[in-house]
Amino acid sequence: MRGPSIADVEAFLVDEARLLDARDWNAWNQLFTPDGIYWVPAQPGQKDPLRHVSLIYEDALLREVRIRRFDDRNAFSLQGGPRGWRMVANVRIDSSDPLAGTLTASSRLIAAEYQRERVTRFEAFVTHRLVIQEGQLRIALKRVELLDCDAAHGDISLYL
Amino acid sequence: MSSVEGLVEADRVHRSVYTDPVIFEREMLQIFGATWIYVGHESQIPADGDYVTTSVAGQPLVMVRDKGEVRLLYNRCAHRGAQVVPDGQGNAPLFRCAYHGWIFHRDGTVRTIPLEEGYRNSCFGRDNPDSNMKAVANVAAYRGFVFACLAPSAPPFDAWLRGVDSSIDNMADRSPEGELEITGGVLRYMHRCNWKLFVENLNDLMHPMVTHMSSSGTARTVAKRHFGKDEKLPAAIEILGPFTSNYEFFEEMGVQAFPHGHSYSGGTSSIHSRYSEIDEYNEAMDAAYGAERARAIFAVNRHNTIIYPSLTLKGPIQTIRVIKPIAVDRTLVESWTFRLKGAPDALLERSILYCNLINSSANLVGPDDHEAYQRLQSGLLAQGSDWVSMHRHLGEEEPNEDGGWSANGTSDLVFRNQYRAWTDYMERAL
Repeated sequence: MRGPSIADVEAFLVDEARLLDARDWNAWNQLFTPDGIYWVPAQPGQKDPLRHVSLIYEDALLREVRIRRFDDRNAFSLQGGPRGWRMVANVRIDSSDPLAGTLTASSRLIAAEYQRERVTRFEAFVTHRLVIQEGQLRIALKRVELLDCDAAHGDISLYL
Repeated sequence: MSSVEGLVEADRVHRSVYTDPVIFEREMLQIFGATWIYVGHESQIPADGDYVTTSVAGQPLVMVRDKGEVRLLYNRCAHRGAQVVPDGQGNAPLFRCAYHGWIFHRDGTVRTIPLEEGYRNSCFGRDNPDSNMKAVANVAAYRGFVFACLAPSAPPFDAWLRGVDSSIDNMADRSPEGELEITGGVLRYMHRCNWKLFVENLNDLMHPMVTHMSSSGTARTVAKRHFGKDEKLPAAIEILGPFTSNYEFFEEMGVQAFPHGHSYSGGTSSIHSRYSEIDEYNEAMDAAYGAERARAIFAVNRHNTIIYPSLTLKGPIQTIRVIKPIAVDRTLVESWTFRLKGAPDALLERSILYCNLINSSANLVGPDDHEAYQRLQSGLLAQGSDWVSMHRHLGEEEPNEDGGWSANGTSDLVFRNQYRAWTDYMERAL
């Protein structure tokens, strides 16, 4: 049995980034497994998301809150509509288990968020833990480790 | 230096206190440079030689454990002035300057001066205390919380802390061992606003139900979709939901104000009082204190305590936020979490979750506060009016039992009290 190829994984990550660029939050959220996690750690190499602070550590419930808030007129910090784009590169499959239908892919991300005359740029090491469910790749964990994850930050409004 | 005369009235404050860089410089000298400022927690440096860099009023300091004592040094080489210890923490037997190799003991006294004989015709050298890293004039600690006053003469520490020392007590008493350990990293959030806007907001109980509707209100809506009326809610929902409690809830929480600008909101109830019980923790507390005393500790439930001007804390969820002014319109806010020694990990995990959800710059609650501060910072440039209101429930405060004043939760008492202290500090002759 053959697992997904590097081309499959690369295409998946690019499609994922395009969904975020298009602010299609719900379609993006559907890429996750039901217990999938989106994680932006606050420490380089951070292993523990429960006993160490993170910039974001979201399960499906918290993603639902954030995604509904994107459309909330009273989300004052989102007024003026932050917009962003993402560029994914250096994709590699770090490990895979074709029998279990799981793989871990790493990539580099350059992203930018624009709001009210200001662009914030992000550079990150990204790890995806992917599983094949019903023939489709799904995200069990997306871990976005910002290059400056332990520095002082201003607002980070969008998913990266 | 501009005078602050005429900028503060009993019930309103002039907008320039938030926007004038000259006033900001004066605050760094008269307030952050001249009263007790939080610099760190003793648990950050448990062992001899442990150090952590910190700062007061933009000045680099290093806090170090030396022969069991906590020492605080200006992080500056006596020779040419380079910062000796790079930012961060670690353990070191001695401090060596990266520039010309001067070496200092952990108490700041100089140990080695390269080519020392070159100083023979000067007064400089190892016998002269000017060759040491200087110690900060005044350092005091209360239950592990370390404060420093840079000015030679500091207000008497115990009297200065009175009224809000009980908030530190309540946080530490929530440990079955009566001790706190700072752990879990730090979130550093750069705010584009004056430091006072952040400090004032913490006991502004008129804002949560407006500012946080999109996060807290949405969390309630989402929870309703997934959970029945009597179902136990996930901790994240328990944390987010109460921010949009109604006005009555926040009014009943009450506010308490004390000399030197200190205050706290809540007392017997707060947004933290309805978190789920953790049985294993309750048992540990009962065993440590006896059931009656444990209940008395839990009966104290405060929202935000402001130890004016630099430290704010939340006892029931074991977090602090530390205010570091950078410029008139820039403020760094650090969020730290504590482990209650002897308590199960579930408590620390709740504190971490709270910080992630509320204090992270990438989450849903802090950024809406930050948005309000930025709108204040830009709105206050308007010349339509020079004055900022602090009128609510004016004159309705009552003396409380602890030497301060008590008012309805939506009173502006806390602001008026902060500006009384601010004016005293700013007009004082140093």
